[in-house]
Amino acid sequence: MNEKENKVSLKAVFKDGVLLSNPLFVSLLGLCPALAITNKFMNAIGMTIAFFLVLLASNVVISLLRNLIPGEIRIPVYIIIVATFVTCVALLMEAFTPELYSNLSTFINLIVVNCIILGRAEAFASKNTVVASTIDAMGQSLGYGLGLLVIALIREVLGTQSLTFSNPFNAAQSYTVPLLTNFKIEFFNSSAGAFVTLAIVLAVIAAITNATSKKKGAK
Amino acid sequence: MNKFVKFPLVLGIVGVICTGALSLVYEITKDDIAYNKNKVAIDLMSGIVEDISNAEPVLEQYDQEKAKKYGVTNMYRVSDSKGVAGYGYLGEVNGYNPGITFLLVLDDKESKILGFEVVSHSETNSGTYGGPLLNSPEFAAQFTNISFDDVATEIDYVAGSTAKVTMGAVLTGVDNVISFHKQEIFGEVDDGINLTGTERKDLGLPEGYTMTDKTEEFKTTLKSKVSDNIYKNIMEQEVVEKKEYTKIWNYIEITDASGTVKGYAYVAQGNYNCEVEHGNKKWQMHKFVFMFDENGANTKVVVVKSNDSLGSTSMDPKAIENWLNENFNGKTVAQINDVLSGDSGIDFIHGATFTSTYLRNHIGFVINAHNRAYGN
Repeated sequence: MNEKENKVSLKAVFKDGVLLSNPLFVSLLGLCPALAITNKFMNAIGMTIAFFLVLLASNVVISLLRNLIPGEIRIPVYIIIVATFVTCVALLMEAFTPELYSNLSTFINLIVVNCIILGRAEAFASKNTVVASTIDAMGQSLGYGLGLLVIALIREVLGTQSLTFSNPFNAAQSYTVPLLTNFKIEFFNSSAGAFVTLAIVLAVIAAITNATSKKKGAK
Repeated sequence: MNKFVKFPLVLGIVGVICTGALSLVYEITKDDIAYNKNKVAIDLMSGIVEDISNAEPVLEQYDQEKAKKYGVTNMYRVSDSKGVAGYGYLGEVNGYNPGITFLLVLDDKESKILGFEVVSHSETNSGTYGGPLLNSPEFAAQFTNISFDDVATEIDYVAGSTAKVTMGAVLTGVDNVISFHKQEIFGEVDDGINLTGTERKDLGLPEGYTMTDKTEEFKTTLKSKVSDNIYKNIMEQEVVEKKEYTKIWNYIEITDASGTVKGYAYVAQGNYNCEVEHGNKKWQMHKFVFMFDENGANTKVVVVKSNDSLGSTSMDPKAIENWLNENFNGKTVAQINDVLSGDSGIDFIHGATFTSTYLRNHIGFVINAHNRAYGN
């Protein structure tokens, strides 16, 4: 592969993760945490960072070991690697960002069985170079994180009239931005509110995609 | 390389490397994690123990099975600048809805509650339901600096039947945690009999006599003779309209030094309320033991604990004792039962109407239970 081809493919890999194959909005993967922890914007940021660290580390390691892992036992090996990184991230969060960890704890540990992580390991990292796998991890994490942040933004603003930012290393330091006055729909704080928000966002994306396709078709 | 060698080898190497990585991260983070866990407990107890310096989790050093039995989910050794200040317990009990978690901090030397706080609950948060009661700082404050023995008497009576279920559950939960504390910290023996050392002395049993808990045997016998509903009403009964509550704690066999059965006894408790008439919002309570010999004769009632102000209506406190001697002591169980169920009954004492009326009812309740289980 020459340098130019490599650059083009890396860009495509990144774009694919963020937009064309966005794990949350296009592939509909990782829905469980997307519905459960997006009641707060800070939770979504925390989950995005944790997800990124696990995906990056597991993609890099699996890519490095791809020629050493026999095909027949690749899945158990991937699971051991992913579980190790998830546990490491969970321990680090529990130690250094305890408040955030207490908000996310169950879902941090559930990253082990997240389809996106194992899916990228199997579909991408096991077949590509370390650099490409790193870019893939960044693209997929950014795509998933954007999805979480959009849902969390809508839910927190509509559900609480405000947006709260806090220092994950010191929960006592927090800043709330009031955004809406006399308008609050607490329903968006509930699980049902998460489903409705996701449905609305998916509908908007589908409408935009359809309109763009028609425009391209007309041309 | 043969795949039966290669595959386990690869998995093993990956496993070892991952274990090493995890161990390293664990070593780096363990102190911070322990501190964070303690910090939650320290924050929780800082309102109860002034200048708290540490709350070390110690439950694993004590009897786990017993902790489970008494609803203790966590236990902390609480220190302040002077040293160990007491023990903080996280207890769990079911109210009207499941899952009331509470914090109880107990003195490590005296039988005293240092503080109480409800940590979380799922009781309904409105009206006369249990939620507002549990959220109320006034409710929690009542537990501060009271003796273990005063839990049954010093906590305000609450209106609303659902809130009362919640309150009853919390009091039971607190009692359970105190029992755990007494056994694990003070070294009291758990023989299943709900009587303190002082209360046992009050019974006046001759030297060498021992008590054995036969409550399970009593329950089994009773269950075989009555329906489930009647059984529940006999063991524990609440008459809401009379604001009256009765519970049988134990059925006891009394033996002498040679092991010969010398009699039996019931430990029971009756709660009632004099709120309207006496302007007293506290529960009124009698804990008493109804004893009789192996032939059902020589009855004796000993009130081992009471918060009733016997002299409040200007009468001689001795009057209750005389009234008990006259009507309930030195007779046979059958005789008392006959009188209680007869037309004339046993009259209450004028001037101590509530005390004598409820005590009479509660003794009758125990005799009825005995007749249901062991009568013809």
